[in-house]
Amino acid sequence: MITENTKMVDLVHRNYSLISVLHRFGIALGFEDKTIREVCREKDLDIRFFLEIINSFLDHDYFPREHLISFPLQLIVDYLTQTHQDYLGKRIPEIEAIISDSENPCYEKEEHNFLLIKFFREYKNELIVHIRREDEKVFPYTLQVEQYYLTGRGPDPLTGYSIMDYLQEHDDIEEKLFDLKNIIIKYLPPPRNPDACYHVIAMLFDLEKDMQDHSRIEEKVLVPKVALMEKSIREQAHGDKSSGV
Amino acid sequence: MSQISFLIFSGSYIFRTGLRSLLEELEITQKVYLAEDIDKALKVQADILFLDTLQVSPASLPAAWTEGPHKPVIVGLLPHTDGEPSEYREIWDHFLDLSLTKSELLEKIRRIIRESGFEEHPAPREEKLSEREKTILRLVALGHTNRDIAEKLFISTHTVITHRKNITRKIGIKTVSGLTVYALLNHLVEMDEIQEQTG
Repeated sequence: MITENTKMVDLVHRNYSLISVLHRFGIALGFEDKTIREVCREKDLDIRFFLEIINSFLDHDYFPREHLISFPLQLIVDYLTQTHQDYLGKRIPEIEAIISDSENPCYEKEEHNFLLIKFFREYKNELIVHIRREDEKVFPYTLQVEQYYLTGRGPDPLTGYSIMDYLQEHDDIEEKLFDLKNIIIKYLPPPRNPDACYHVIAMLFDLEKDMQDHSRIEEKVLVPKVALMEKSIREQAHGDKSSGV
Repeated sequence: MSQISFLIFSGSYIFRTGLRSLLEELEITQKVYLAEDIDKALKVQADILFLDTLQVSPASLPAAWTEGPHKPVIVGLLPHTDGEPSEYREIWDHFLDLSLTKSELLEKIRRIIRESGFEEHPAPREEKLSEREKTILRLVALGHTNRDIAEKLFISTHTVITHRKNITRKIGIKTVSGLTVYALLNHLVEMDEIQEQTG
């Protein structure tokens, strides 16, 4: 298990995929011998939150639901938003650049390249819609709920929409990514450019792993936390009404 | 018998999970149950029982394991290499010497399975689509809904859904756009047909 005394370098040796997690916290390489505590102090990060995110990334059974739930929503939402930017700003364009490189196409036949690009773009568009919805609607809603819950001020957030409505639509995006991998691994012919395909596959597996981690945080931390606050606000409102009568 | 069921009965976490991962490497259709105490163990009916000798002495073995039509094949787990202790010979059908190497262990388990009269069914591999499934896949790729397909083929929507589940299981593709790519690559539909539909 990772603690605040773990050295940053050991963290990356343990699992290099953590580099992108660190990036979301604004931590770049070149750690020297610094520990997690030192780096978090320098960057003014919440050490406990940082550790929970790292540990839950490394070990899925380590899911600190109670702990993570105790953190301010803004921390969680910021982390999730950063993750979205990583997907749309970096990972997806990188993959797209390789498969749509017309100078050095992945497959011999035009139709195969075309199918791959077409499927990938469909996936991308769906992902963009999904992420926009979270960034523009779901996350602001959760923060509004938290504000109302803590201060009793601001607009009443509970006008029809509930956080549970949002749980349903994760599946299709994960399934498309799964299909994309299988199409390349099983069904398209052997590529003309194996290196490029290998690279794309590696990036897709990384992306999938990261997204699973991302969804776990949303589904196991964000949603239950907000649902609890919604419940409490509703009960409060109900109590006020009945005492007023 | 389509699949073999194993029960691993041991109080040791390391024995249970270690043996389970070994069984998974056999790549046969199987069901593995784990039990750390006798109550849990007796709830399960298995073909082959791996029994930790520290767990039950020969005298206290429950009747369900020693007699009757559902009596399992009992394999004793033997932690050291001193040979088979004689007091267990009566009740063990086989024993597994835990100091063996991985490949020796796998070989021994395979032999036990064969000698006990079970067939090793290889884990299901990809199967070919039937003509009916190809027809349905083609219609899916052309953008038809389950209801359209049911009407066209004079079958119930329920049957269409069953076919679609089987298609997904066989080829490992879940989404409609993924199925469309598969259909195109396998020339179940052609690109111009799809463009006609969508255009």
